[in-house]
Amino acid sequence: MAEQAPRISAAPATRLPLPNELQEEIFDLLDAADVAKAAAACTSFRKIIVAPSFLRRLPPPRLLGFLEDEGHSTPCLHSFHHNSAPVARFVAGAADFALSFLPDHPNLWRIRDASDGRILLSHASRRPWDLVVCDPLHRSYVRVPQIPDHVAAGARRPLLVRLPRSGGRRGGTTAPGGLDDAPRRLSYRYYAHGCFYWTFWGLDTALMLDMREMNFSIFQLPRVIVTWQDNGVGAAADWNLTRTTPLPDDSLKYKIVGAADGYLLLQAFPKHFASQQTPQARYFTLKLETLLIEELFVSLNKGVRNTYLYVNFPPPLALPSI
Amino acid sequence: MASAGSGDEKAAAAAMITLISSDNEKFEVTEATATLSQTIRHMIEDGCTDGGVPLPNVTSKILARVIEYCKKHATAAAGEEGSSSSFSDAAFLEVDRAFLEELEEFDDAFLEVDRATLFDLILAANYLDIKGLLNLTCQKVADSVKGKTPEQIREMYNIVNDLTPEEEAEIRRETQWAFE
Repeated sequence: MAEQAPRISAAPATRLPLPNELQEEIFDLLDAADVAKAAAACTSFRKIIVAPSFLRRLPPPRLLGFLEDEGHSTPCLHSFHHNSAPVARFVAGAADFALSFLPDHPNLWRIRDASDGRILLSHASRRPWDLVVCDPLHRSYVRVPQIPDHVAAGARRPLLVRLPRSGGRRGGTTAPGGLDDAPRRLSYRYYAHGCFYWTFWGLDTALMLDMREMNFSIFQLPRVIVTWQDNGVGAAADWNLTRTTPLPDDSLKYKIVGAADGYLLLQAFPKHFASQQTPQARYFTLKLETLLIEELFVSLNKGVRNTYLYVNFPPPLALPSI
Repeated sequence: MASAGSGDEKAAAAAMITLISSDNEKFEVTEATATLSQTIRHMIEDGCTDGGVPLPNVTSKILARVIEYCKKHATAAAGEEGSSSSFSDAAFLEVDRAFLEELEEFDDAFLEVDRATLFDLILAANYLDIKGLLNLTCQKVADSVKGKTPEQIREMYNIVNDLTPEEEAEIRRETQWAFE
């Protein structure tokens, strides 16, 4: 069956006899380490591989690491040690986390949030807020239009929602526990997979806004939770604690920075420290499936104030996705 | 066409299409074989296959191989349809497995070609829009690159290293993790 046609071997070339999009198809089938090695073979491979269009093809979501905003220096990306670490380091090399493409000096910008590979920053000294959304991988940014004063004033008022009695409870006929007609105050806002979520104080009900459909819905929170014990962390289903794992060092105070890809990122500070000292943060990842906690050994600046998970590759800013 | 009865389907399956390679060689194939190519399927749907389908991007040597692939996989597709209509899960799976194994063996043997032919097959599969063949051939190239050093990749594909020493050093620095 095999046909080994004798062929005069062609003169050495600087590229494969295939158009770029077909070479991308092939590189798509390789893991990050092999892609990186291919990138070191010749200019044409390298050009294809480091192009944002190729990097974006790598399958999301990827927990790439976390950003720390120390306040007075440019943010940087720390990669995790789990399986997306090679990709994270690749992205860290390809992207500009020093944000040198921003107007003014990058030190003048503070990170406010990070989502889908983009970073929201505010200018440190300009009032009212001067906000930009930037994409470190593609080295581009867009300015967020100024929020008119009357809208900004309204946005600071707490949002109250009146829940419908039979509202959205899947298959159920009874209203969620303790629900009445009283307007409910929404808690902190969460964002995941194109939807915003608000929970209600004292209720296991959440309000969801689907940004693609632009509609609201109300649903019962699944009763699988991660709970803090006195000296450990556990995952519970239906409020019965099923598994617990001790926290590695009980002289530390822990805080959840965020969750992605089945991991929690924990930030920890010493419970006791001299008041004139800036405490040094330590970071741990918690794999939810196994409750395995591992410390991240990263060279952090002192006095880190805020930390943001960096997940996913940014989609192009040009798309009307906001 | 979509609502055709089984009699019409048989007639459609027996309908022959003539494919003409870049070097003017003519290949007679059944419509079932030809329509594995989305490009040709669209031509048939548009009714522009009378007098043969000229394929100026594909040589007779490569077209013969592509047709060999399509014939085998068209039979496989027909077999799958047949067994899914008489739905007996266990029997269906058994038949399916044997079929898949045979198909896999065919694919492995099919891919035993020199690299230039492999690239020509990729180009033809892309031009003719035959997804299965494109995946198969691209996977073959990807597998050959897996675990190889940049030097080995260059040697294998006869590629000149056109990176400057500085560029190469920089890439090595950036991607050092991949070489660990």
